[in-house]
Amino acid sequence: MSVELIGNAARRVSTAAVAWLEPARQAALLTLRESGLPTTASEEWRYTDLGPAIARLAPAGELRPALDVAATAWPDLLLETGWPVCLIVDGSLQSGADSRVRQFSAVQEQDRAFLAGAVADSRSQPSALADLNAALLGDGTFVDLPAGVTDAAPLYLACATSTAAATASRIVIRCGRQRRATLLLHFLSASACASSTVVDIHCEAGAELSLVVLQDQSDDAIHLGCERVSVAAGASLDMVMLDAGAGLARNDLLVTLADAGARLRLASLMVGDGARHVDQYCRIEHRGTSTSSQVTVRGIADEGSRLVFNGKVIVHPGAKGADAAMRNQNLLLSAAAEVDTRPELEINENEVRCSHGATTGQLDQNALFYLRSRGIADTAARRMLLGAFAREILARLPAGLSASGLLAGIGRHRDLWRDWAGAS
Amino acid sequence: MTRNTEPLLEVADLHVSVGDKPILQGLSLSVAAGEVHGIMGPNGSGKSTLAHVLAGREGYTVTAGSVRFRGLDLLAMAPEERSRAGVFLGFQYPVEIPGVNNVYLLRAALNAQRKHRGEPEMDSVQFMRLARERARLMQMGEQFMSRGVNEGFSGGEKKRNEIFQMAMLEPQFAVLDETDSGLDIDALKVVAGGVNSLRDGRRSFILVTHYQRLLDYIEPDFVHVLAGGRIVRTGDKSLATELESQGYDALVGST
Ligand SMILES: Nc1ncnc2c1ncn2[C@@H]1O[C@H](COP(=O)(O)OP(=O)(O)O)[C@@H](O)[C@H]1O
Ligand SMILES: [Mg+2]
Repeated sequence: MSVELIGNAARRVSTAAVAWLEPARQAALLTLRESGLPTTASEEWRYTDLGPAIARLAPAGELRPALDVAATAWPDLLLETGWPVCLIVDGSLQSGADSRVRQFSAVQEQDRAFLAGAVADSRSQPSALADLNAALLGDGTFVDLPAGVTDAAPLYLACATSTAAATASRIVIRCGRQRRATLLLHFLSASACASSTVVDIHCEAGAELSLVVLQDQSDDAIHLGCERVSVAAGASLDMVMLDAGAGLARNDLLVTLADAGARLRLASLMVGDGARHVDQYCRIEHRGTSTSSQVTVRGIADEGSRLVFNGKVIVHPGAKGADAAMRNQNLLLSAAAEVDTRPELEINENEVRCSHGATTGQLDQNALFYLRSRGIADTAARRMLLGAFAREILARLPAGLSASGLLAGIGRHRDLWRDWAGAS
Repeated sequence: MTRNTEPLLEVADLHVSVGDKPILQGLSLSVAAGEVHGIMGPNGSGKSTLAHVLAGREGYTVTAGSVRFRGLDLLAMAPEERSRAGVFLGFQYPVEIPGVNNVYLLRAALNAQRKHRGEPEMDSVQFMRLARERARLMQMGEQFMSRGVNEGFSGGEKKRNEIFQMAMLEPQFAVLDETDSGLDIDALKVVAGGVNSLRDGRRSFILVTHYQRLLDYIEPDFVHVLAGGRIVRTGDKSLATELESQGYDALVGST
């Protein structure tokens, strides 16, 4: 697996519209050349081989057929929320009636430095996925939520990869000082594709961002996702992630709680079925004093799927009063499924409160018998218990986004999700 | 004892093991429609095993014997099929199921039973009216109904919830496994009132208990002593009084 594949693909991407991004792209490519692409020899990539993904990502860098919107399930979801929608196809913004959203190629000159900095930011939170994405970038999407504005409607970003395409999408979100906002990011694809999606999220001082990330790509898709988050003083990010699609999904969530009082709350659900491989890497860095991270990740591993949770909380020297809890709970439903979980703490400060834990188990047989003894069929009882497990996460969806409304729009296993959402 | 009707439940020479360990060893019991049977017996004598086997719990091996319920081979049926056929188990230790709402479960259960009988589903207005009425009978507040199944309930609340569920499902036959254990006298009266309200001359009950006082409130037709995996004595309710004053050893000898 060679970085040159990436270099070749990068040369084929048309970058004329964002010439000012060229230094950032070159810097990213250089970083990749110097450090190489990650291999399964590294701890962070132990369970996922990036090779096949790169092979699919790189040669097809210029394919851009249109998305067959009618063939996807997402319009239901749009109707459900009634939120303003922006559709991004293969990395470029298609329709954006919303003033908060612009293509990189259409941003004002004063924002370019900020965006180039965000894209090239490989120092604070290094990520091969982010570098890979930067190298292949033709354009991007800037979601600008300036300070001093309140009560804007939530925003729905549907980020689609079209048939057989292999693409890189970049979304930069800037949530201004004291700004409260709600965003839904929905990744979907019509069929087999490989996509690299990086979202840079900047929560400025006092901002409160509520973010839902829904990954619902088709079974044969490869999804390489990365969210790089920095949270400033007194700001908070409340995040719900639902990983329900793609044959191979790897996601890196990289969070820096940069200043005093910065907070992260994450509730994440991974659903594995068929031969799905889902690898969630999570790195949370406490740098400011009195910062807080509360992470709950749940996984359901059925059939021949494999779920990986690799989570790391790092408390840096000086981050006094840090409060971190990381929990990973998994249900292993089939003998052929596999769960690998490694929650870790690295604490370099004394006055902190940190905990972590992981469990992997089967459905509670006592609960199953109890439900069946009341006349509930075995399959329905199992679904109820799965729903109960999932609902701990689904209950964290922001107001205005009901679990049933959201989940009814998920293309895969629609009945199951609906069932899960409705049983409360 | 003479009976003019075919029994509702007929347990014949039942042998049950857990792993290699024999627990029930030739238990026979016949319950006719409308009857209330008390079963008493020392700890570990197999009372809960009998209750679980009747309800269809996995993990028990029936090595001999049979159980017929309304002419059906009960042991061949899945737990949900038994429930729909009219069997109810009141658990000695009701299970907490956070995330599955109490009322949601009841409604799903009730509609599963109705579907089985070929009746239409109950709409939510009808259902809630019925649920409120029965909950009032069990002196359960609305807050119990909106919580997860038994989630955070006290011991007594869990037992009342069992009887509430029974009152909603209106089974033909119920085994109540130590429903009275851990109840104060007021809660005991509520539970007994719930059971008595369902006694209609056709519905039958097995009450597993350690205490005569439950049988003071719910008058049994028969009282059995289960020891060593078998019914070793059968009598009327005076047997309970005798047991209470003399203990098991004096009555059945050490087994
Ligand atoms: N799942 C089990 N595994 C092993 N032993 C069991 C199991 N269930 C019951 N037993 C044993 O069977 C015997 C009867 O138990 P149980 O039916 O619960 O008695 P009771 O309800 O009369 O107190 C006890 O010795 C108990 O330890
Ligand atoms: Mg018992």
